Amino acid sequence: MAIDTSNLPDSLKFIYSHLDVRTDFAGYSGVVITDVDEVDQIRYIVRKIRSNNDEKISLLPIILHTSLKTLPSSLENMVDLLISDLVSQGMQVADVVAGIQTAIQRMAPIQKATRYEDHVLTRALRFVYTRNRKTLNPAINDDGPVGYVHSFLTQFMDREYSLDQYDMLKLALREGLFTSEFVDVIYLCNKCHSGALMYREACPNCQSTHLVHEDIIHHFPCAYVGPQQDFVIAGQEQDLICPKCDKRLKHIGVDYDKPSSIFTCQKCDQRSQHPVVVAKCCTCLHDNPVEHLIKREVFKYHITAKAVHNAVQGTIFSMDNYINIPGTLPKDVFQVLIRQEVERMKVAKIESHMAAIELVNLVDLFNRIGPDAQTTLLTELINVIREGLKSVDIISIENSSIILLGLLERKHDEAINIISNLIVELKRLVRDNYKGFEVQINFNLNKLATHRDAAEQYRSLLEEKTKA
Amino acid sequence: MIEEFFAYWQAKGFLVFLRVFWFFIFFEFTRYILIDYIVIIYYTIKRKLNQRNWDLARNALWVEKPLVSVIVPGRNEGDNLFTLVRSLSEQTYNNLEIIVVDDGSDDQTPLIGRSLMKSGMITLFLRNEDRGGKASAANLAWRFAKGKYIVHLDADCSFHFNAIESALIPFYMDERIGGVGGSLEVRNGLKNLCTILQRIEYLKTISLGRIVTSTLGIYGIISGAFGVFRADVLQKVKGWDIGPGLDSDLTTKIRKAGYKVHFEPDAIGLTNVPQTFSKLANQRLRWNKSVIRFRLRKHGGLFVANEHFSFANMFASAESIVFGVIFNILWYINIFDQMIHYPRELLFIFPMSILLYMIGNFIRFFVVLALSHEDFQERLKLLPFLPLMVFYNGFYMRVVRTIAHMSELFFWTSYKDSWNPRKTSVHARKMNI
Ligand SMILES: [Zn+2]
Ligand SMILES: [Zn+2]
Ligand SMILES: [Zn+2]
Repeated sequence: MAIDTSNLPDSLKFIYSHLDVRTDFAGYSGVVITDVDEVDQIRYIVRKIRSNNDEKISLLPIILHTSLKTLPSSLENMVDLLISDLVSQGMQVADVVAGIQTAIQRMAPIQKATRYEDHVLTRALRFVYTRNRKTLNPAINDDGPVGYVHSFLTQFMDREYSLDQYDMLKLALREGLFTSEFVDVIYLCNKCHSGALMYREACPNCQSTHLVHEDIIHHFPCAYVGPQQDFVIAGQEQDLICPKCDKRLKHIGVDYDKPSSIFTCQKCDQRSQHPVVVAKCCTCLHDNPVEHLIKREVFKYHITAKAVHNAVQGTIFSMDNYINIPGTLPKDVFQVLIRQEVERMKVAKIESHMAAIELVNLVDLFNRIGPDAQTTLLTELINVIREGLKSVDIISIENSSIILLGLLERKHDEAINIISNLIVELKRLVRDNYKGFEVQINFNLNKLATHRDAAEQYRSLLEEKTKA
Repeated sequence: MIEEFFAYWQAKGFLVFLRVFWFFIFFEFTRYILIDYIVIIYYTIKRKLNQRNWDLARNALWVEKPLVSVIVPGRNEGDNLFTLVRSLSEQTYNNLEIIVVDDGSDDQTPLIGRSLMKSGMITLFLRNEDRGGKASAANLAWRFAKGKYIVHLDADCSFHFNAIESALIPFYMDERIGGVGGSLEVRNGLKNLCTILQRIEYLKTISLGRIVTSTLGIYGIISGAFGVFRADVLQKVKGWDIGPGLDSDLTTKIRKAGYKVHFEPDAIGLTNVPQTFSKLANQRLRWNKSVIRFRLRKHGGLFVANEHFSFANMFASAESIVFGVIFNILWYINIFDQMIHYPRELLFIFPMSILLYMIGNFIRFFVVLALSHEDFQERLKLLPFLPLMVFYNGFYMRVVRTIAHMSELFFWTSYKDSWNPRKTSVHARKMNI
């Protein structure tokens, strides 16, 4: 078919079928998918391009020329423009391609991240940045698993319909790359993560759904109570007759009422008023007791300045990277030791402290220097702290700017002294290594209290604002 | 002063003493001290001789090991359920199903009941959204009970580890027994004076009194707080009818159907009693009204010779009327008699009355002490409070009882009692029960 491309930029690559994705994309400024009317084929083509390891290809503007009236919103979120007529909408195409290409030019080359999660998040941020999207909406996933998909992220993931996206988004939120706004809650099959579930009442004993419900009748004059069946006598089915006093029931609310109902399981004979709710998965047929369903909260996300900064720098560095720095303890271990210290304080007459040191503007420096240098700097900072402490004291990295210290068996004056010295040393280290960068350091110091829960003290230390 | 007092009574001589205190000597002393002592001695000897039968019956119980249904009807009893269920899980007799009926509670009872059922600690939890009254709740639980014996419990009770086993054994000693009542003691008996006095009352009047009536074959009330029934007998008497007083009503129906009822002092449950004298008064008003309502109105036929007539049944019914109602009237006659015929001697009569009742109390309490086992020391601590029982029984309880009898006899007030929902009370009133 001859296509009139007179209004279009020269450097567009046209794709007419899913087979065309194998050809070379180098040197093009955008992709036009045309004449493909199968949604699955379109999705395949788009994913193939987005998942390319070379950002020159994966970030290419994708224009979808189609006569289809509706597209799944998950797919719509992945393409940059939908058009129905190449001739009349040529200018629009040119604008979109130019806008995205300009944004791509502004970004530094992407750096290799040490972790898969960081790498995928960085790619997603750069995609979002080049498309100038401020708000990212989840899309209902109509074809099965995970309920909602976040295409801006999943298009860069190996498995599009994976629960991992929720974990990654949580990580990004924690790192301050997004702010979030609640959208929905999803419940997924525990076995296959499908959101297509069928809810039914079932026997709490054997899970059978073969239940027979019956009203319970209370006959006031004689206080007899039993299922409706008790009041039915063979041959007189139209009447209800009390089995205790042989009277006919006349008027509900006057001489009898139905205070409740009961079901009987036809499989195991169990009686109960409280069936359990079981969700059958329409995908894998697994029967999930509702309390076993996987629950996730779904949000829409707003991009922060930090995210834009990271996108342009071509790197993010999440705090999960800090886990393996020598001399520090994982957060949970730190908390356990603090709890033990509180217990020990109850019996021994000792005084201990917990401190939070905040390196307020360290993020700015991190964003300048790249992941490897960050790890090196952090390792050195921790070394300085370690040298200033006794071997019984403990250190944990809370997030990209806060370091926690457990100063065990130290009086208040002693603790203040240690921290003041540390701050001086830390500042000097940064100044010596990165000329012209002055790190700002705040801190909080709390005495451990025996009458308060250790976890609560841990939380309140982090919640209080640190002071210079 | 004291010398003068004794000198006065010495001068009057024994005949005048008899004339003035005829009620105490011929009625109270005879019934509560003389007869009790004789019966208790007889009971103790019989129990010793029966030890082998008891052991055989116990073997028979364990050989058969029937399913026993524990039914617990109640309203707003959620907080008590866990204590109850725990004491049931510790029972030596363990082939139990537990059915709890929540009669229209408006607190967190449904939540607690459902979670207990879910965790398997109770077999069945049923709830009536609309309150139907205690009888209907018991009937609902009983309708779904599968056991050979039905244990009816109050949710605010808990039980000695062998209570249910001990209450089941009598069924295997005498097949004419249709129901067994357990012995109730007071759990919150050290809380305050009100509960201490009730504790003494439960030990002295209720437990001891029931050993006596049971031994005499005229035991008339299996307490709903801890009663065990043969399921087939319950079927014959068609379960519970509208309360209050459904305990004595059911017991009477069982006796009328030709079965014996038995009191088992070894089957011990603990119950919480009212903690203030005004709440206690309310409870006792209800109990005493039911004596009139059920003994005289509903089961009045017991005093008429017909095919169901038996002397034991008549005495069983008469017992609560005679000692509850008639003794009460006689006491008033005695007081009037003293005031009319000895108006100037009242200053000597009154202290003597108190002295006599006090001595009576101590004599009766010695039996309680003699029958106690490991709790002897505990019971000994109650001795200092015994003198107060004269005022508790002689005045407080008497006033409550009198008000109850009068209002029920003349005004039928128990039918207006909020203890039952209105929808059921109107029917009971119509049918004269
Ligand atoms: Zn079942
Ligand atoms: Zn009826
Ligand atoms: Zn599934």
